[in-house]
Amino acid sequence: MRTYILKRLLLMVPTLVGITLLTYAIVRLAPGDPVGAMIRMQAGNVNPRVFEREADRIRQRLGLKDYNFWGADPDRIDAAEKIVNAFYGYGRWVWHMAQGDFGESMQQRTTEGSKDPLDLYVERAHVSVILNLIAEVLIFLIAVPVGLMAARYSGRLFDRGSTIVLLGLWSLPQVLAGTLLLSLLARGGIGLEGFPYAGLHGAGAETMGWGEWFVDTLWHATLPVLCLVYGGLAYLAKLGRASLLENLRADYVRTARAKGLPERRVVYHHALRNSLLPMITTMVMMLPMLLGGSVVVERIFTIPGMGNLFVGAAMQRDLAVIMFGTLVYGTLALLSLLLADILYAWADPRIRYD
Amino acid sequence: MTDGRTTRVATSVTPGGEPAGPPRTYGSIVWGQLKKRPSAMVSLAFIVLLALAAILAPFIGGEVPIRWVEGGEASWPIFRCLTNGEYVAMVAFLLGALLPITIRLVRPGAEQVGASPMLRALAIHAAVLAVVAGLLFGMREPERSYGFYLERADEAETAWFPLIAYPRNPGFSELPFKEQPPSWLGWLAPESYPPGSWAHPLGTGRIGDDVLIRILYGARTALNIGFVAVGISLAIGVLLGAISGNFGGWVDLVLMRVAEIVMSIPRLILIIIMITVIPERWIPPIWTVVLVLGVTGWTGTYRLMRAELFRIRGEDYMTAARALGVRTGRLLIRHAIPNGLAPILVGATFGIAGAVFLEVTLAFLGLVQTPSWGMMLNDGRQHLEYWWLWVTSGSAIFLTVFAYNLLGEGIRDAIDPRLRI
Amino acid sequence: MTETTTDTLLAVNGLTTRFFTEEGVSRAVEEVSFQIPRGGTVALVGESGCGKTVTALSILRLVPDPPGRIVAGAVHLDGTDLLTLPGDAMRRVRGNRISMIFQEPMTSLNPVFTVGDQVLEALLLHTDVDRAEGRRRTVDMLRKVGIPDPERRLDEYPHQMSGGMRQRVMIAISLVCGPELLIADEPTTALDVTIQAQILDLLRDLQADLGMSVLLITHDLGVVAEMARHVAVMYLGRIVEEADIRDLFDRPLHPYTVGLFRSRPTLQHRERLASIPGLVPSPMAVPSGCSFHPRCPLSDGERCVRERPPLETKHAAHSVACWHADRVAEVRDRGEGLYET
Repeated sequence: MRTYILKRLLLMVPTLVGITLLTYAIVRLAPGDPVGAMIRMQAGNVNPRVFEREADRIRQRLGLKDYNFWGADPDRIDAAEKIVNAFYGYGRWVWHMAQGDFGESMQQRTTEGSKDPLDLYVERAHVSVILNLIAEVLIFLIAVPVGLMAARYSGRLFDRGSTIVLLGLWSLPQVLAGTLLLSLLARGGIGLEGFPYAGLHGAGAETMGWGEWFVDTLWHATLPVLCLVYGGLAYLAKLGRASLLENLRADYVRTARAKGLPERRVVYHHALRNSLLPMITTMVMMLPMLLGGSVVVERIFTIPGMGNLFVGAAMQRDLAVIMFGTLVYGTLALLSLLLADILYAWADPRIRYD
Repeated sequence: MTDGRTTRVATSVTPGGEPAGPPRTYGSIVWGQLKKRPSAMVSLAFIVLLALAAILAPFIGGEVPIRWVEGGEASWPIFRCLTNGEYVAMVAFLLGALLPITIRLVRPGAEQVGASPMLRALAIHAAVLAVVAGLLFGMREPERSYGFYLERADEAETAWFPLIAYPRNPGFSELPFKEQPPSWLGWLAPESYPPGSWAHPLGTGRIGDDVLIRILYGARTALNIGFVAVGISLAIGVLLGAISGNFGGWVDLVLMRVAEIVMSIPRLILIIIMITVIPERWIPPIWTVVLVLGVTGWTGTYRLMRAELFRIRGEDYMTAARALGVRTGRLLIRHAIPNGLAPILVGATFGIAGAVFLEVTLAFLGLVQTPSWGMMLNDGRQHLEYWWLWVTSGSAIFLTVFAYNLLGEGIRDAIDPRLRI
Repeated sequence: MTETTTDTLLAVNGLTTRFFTEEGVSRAVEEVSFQIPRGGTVALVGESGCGKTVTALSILRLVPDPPGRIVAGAVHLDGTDLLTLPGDAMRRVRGNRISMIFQEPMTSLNPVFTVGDQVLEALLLHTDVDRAEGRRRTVDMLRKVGIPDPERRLDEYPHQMSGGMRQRVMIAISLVCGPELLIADEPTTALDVTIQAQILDLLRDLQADLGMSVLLITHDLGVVAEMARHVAVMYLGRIVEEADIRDLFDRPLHPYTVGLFRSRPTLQHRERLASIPGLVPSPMAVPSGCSFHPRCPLSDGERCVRERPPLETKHAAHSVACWHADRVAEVRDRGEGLYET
């Protein structure tokens, strides 16, 4: 088993290289001038010469400058050279990254000075991680019982009703769900007007004591978490139901009943063990998806999270932040795949990677 | 003395024992099962009706009359103003409806309807469509009419306008109907809503655009994105999966790594990057979205196709076919694809739902210019008091995605041999 | 019908089980009656789909309730009607007084639990032993069913064993509580021929050892010949003939039974394999009158189509449900064949 894990970890490297290289190449080789666009956006119209000099300096610092490797004309860089520049730039990025230097974010330059993408992500990490962990746990806690009950009493009212409800939840886009929640439950909308509509902390959060701060955070987090949970919940509950139904039809369940075991033990001891397997692996693989896909929730509820950062960087072609995000996301995705396989092997004695 | 009421008394049992009939192919079995599931049939009907409404949108709401008689001369202006794309879409829909007939024509007299005559019929239809498209695009330019007919409506003896005679893009003109709630609400709750006009059954938006018309044209975008994107994914996935499964070895290793890479990059980020990266003059953003959705969504189909090919490679009939000298391509078309088709179809319906969702998210981020439901949802979201904007578009999205999901589940159940009804 | 004596362990009387589906009612078991003597072996024989498995499941009330239901009949185990027992009382019977083994050993064991655990579970459920004693008895049982090195096997998983071994484990599970009746549903069909013989020998030895009765369900006449004393032939949910084995083989009285015997390849004759013409109708579309009439060479086209023949005793322990059973005997005595090929 240990050799298998090692082999998988090693195999992750070329895949990660592929992911990061692909992302880098696309962003770097694309037509258009992100640095120029940013300068224009932040400083308005500038004297063209000053503009060029500034842009060049910034490009130099960010590692975005194209070098002329060959060719007679020192100022023109043709397509082939661009490609070589891309590879060269990628190499430099890897080199710097190995030393802990993740480059600079393009966005924060003229206001507070440049920021390290690492810092940017870290300061938002705890928000994203907390929200998504709570969401994962809730999804599991709700989906498993619902799926089990639907399968156990399959064909009856609960099963039929829950199937429709779950399918409906699954068909609801997050934008709509968030809007509905806000307009019906949050302050400033119609309806309940109970929940806050923005942010994770109320006014005066710094002055609150521990307990009060905790409650306040939970209060603010309720609607966003609901928004994150309902989709995954629907998927997992349906999966659980299908999995348990399939197992309840299996031969070994017939044997268990023929032994005279009470139905409760047949379902919760025999069938459940087998049905949980695909659910666990699905849950593990849902984690990176939650992290990456929460930008909608973050924007609707005005929460500074990693998803927002990543998407914002993508829209502005902020290379350093994009690369860091890709690296983190890719690693998480591959690691969760590996974790899912390991968990499956631990739970199912038939699977042995030797 | 069995009571003939509860048993079907088989006094006409033939010497063969079973009532005679043609052997049923896998496809006809699955289709038969699907027909017995009301939820799947309802969602299929919904999708077909939606497509029909989207295609016929100019006839339901617009400013160009269907028939116009002026000074004794009759004309059908709307047909001059339809774009080439709309014509192609209408022809495609018509061909789709005629598919059963073409299949029957194509069958070489055999009894069953397998996948092979179906594929042949589809190929014929695709060829016809291509010819039509070629003819149109070479030789025809649609006319434009900005209020020409609406303003002069009194001068005509006969004018058959679409159900909602209203410009599709009201432009900057000051129109009398702005920000109106749905008409029927006014009669139900006159205190909050003054009665809207029945000319705008679902109300109007902030610049006076009719909501119902927007929904109809938004349906086009949604269906377009769904079908084209998933179509591209299917094509890539089936092709690569077939290659991977057929050749195996290092070809398979490399392709699997490629699939892993594509799976590990968050789809949304890739789409966003591509949209911001590819300038508008090269490819209009909506097609960028569709293209990237297609190019990033093939991994599921790929794995299914690959698994299916690995499975049947071991089957005896494949070895027999190979021994008879049948070429690989033929093997693929006649055996691999038809068998793997059903689970791939399931993935396709869920993929369409996913594509619609992604479009909504992109519109939410402000990256979409083509009028769509996602845009309406985003617009309405920012002005919660005009709730009819986002409730209508939200409901449209929800119902469409719900229908696709229901259909996907129905197909999945229809395939399962243990759930035979 | 044979009478019930105090020697009878299990008496099935008029058992009727049907499946109610959207496509119609499937008459899987119709008015089936037979007895199993103490220590004896009775075989239920017939083609696939004739209702023998459903009969066995009905005895243990394991028929999946939607869509199936036992609509009539009684099953007396030592005088107690199992069909009217409350749920927990019935559960105390299963695995304890009546055990069942199934056809597919590959999938009948739970893959995520060890073999030992699964045997132990039955023991702990029905007896008062503690875990240590339970383990000892499990090892004994595994050894008894012929599994070598049982202490080690205790902690192995099913996928680490072959089909034959798994079937032995199934037998161990079913016998560990010392049941009075073992129902064996096609116990050897999924196994290799050599393993088949071993398993049958094992079953016979265990039966003699424990003094238990066996209800053997099979379509394999060779297995019947080895194991059973009394045989009941089923067709489309009904018993069409019942006799002691010697009698049945020598003088079958029902055209269906004759057809079954003819379809077996033998080394004596070198003719084409005969088969009964036609296919078995679906239990949802049972023919009127005698359900065999569409395929029967002796069908008279009138009475056979209108009236269903009851199961009548012809001579000692031999009953048959056919209007023309005497003609069957006649044709055989003349040395002719019933089905002309």
